[in-house]
Amino acid sequence: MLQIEQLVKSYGSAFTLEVEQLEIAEGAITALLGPNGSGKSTLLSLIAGLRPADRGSIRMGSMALGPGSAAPVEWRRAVTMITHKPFLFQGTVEENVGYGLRFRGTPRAARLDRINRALKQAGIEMFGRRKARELSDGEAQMVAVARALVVEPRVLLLDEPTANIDMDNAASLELLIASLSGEKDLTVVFATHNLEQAYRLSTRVVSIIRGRPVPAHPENIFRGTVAGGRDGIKTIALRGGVQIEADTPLSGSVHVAIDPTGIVVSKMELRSSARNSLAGRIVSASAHDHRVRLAVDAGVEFSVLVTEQSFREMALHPGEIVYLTFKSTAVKVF
Amino acid sequence: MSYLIDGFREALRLILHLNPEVLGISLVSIKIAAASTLIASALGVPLGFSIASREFHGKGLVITVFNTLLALPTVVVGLMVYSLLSRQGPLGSLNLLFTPLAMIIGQFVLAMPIITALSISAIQHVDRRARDTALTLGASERQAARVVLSEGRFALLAAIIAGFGRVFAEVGVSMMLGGNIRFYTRNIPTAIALETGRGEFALAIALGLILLTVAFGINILFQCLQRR
Repeated sequence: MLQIEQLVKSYGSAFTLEVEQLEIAEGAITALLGPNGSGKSTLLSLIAGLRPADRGSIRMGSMALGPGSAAPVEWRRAVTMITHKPFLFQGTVEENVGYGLRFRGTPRAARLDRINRALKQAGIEMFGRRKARELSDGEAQMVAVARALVVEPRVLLLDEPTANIDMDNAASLELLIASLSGEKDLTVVFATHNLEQAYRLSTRVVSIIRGRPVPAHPENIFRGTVAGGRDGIKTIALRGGVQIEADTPLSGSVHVAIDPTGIVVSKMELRSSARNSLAGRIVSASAHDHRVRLAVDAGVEFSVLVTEQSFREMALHPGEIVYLTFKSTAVKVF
Repeated sequence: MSYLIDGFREALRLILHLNPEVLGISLVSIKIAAASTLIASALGVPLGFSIASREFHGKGLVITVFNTLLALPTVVVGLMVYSLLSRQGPLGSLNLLFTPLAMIIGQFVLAMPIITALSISAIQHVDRRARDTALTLGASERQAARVVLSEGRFALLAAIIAGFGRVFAEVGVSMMLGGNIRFYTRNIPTAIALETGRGEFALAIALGLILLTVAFGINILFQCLQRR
């Protein structure tokens, strides 16, 4: 659906987004996961055609966005975006939702019909006549959602859509996003810093750190400093006094990522060839699809996946001390 | 003192009886001020919009120049336009001096910087997300610009009203370029100056009351619009 190649966008010397190659599947929900300032919003605004890239291209079907040039209106009519703090125009909710249709010259009767359907889909049909600027943040976000859905975009971009709203509205917005996965003509890309949310809603998670998509599992990503070592195996100091060993040619300040399925959980310390073994306390456990995700505090918080069966047989529970064992080659350094 | 009280009483009578002299002078004032404000708005609002919404080298300087021009003294504008339109001037052959058109030109020069400077500020105060939101909803560049103008419409209207208020009450340009010809270029400010000099207080006070009412009305409207 979307093919991104060699995309570069700089803001002075402070920040550069660099996406070598990224393909976003049609009809799927893709999550862009990363901390604040990692470049998720920049990438979304480039896909939306709001800002031109410095280099590289984004393709969608037969259309392509090149560097330096503004996106043509056909592109912006195929892609729409919802931000974490949406801007509502003066006027009523209905008028707000109708803007995109008016830009497209939709006749009034068809417009009203589609506005009503979109309001219903977003669960805010009772707000139609209210002044948009008098709504709460959560309600305003649902208006923005209705306003985006009413134009029936091919690509819907959401930038931290639940960051600014209360839990009730966030829950109904998540339900709505999840329900969009059934619509095969709609491709959804949303940015979030919330790992749980990324997994709950998306079929694919792309992790972005310091302006680059990371070629690693998006969990257990930590910042660290290469403290020493030789023959490729280096010791990397993370926050909280945690040290791990990894196979990397890099030095200085780095990020590490450890695949949660590559970590062995045991009640006793294992004697093995694996270079890393850390003791930690189980903070929480939550079940997903026959697997249990454990959060283990070992100085930094690790996310570990075990099968439901192992979880039961080992009788693991929050508060318990466990050992996490993983090989140096299971640590990705970048 | 009694001549003042008599003057007021007579002035009210002139207004209430729709005295033709008072009406004629007021009409000249309104027509000329409206025409000059209209032209200044037609140029000043788009100019203000494009200055505010574009990034270019020297933008700060341009905005400073327009803000400085807000303080343009009316007699200096009168002098400048006079020197262009007088017989010996470069546009002397057009025979525009002492015509309503000459007054409109002078008032346009006065109103243009006000309307432009306030339009720049009006557009700069529109939330930056308004344009982006319109674009993501599929607006063309022109439609997005219209959305921004619409979001700033109260402040833009306030800019136009401020321009009208300035030219409606000024006397320097009207006197120097219009020549104060009865029923032709004599407007409220120039008539007040003349009638006061001639000792015709009643007519001067009547016109003064009208001028004050319009000026206050405009100011109240301006304040209301700025607050929205």
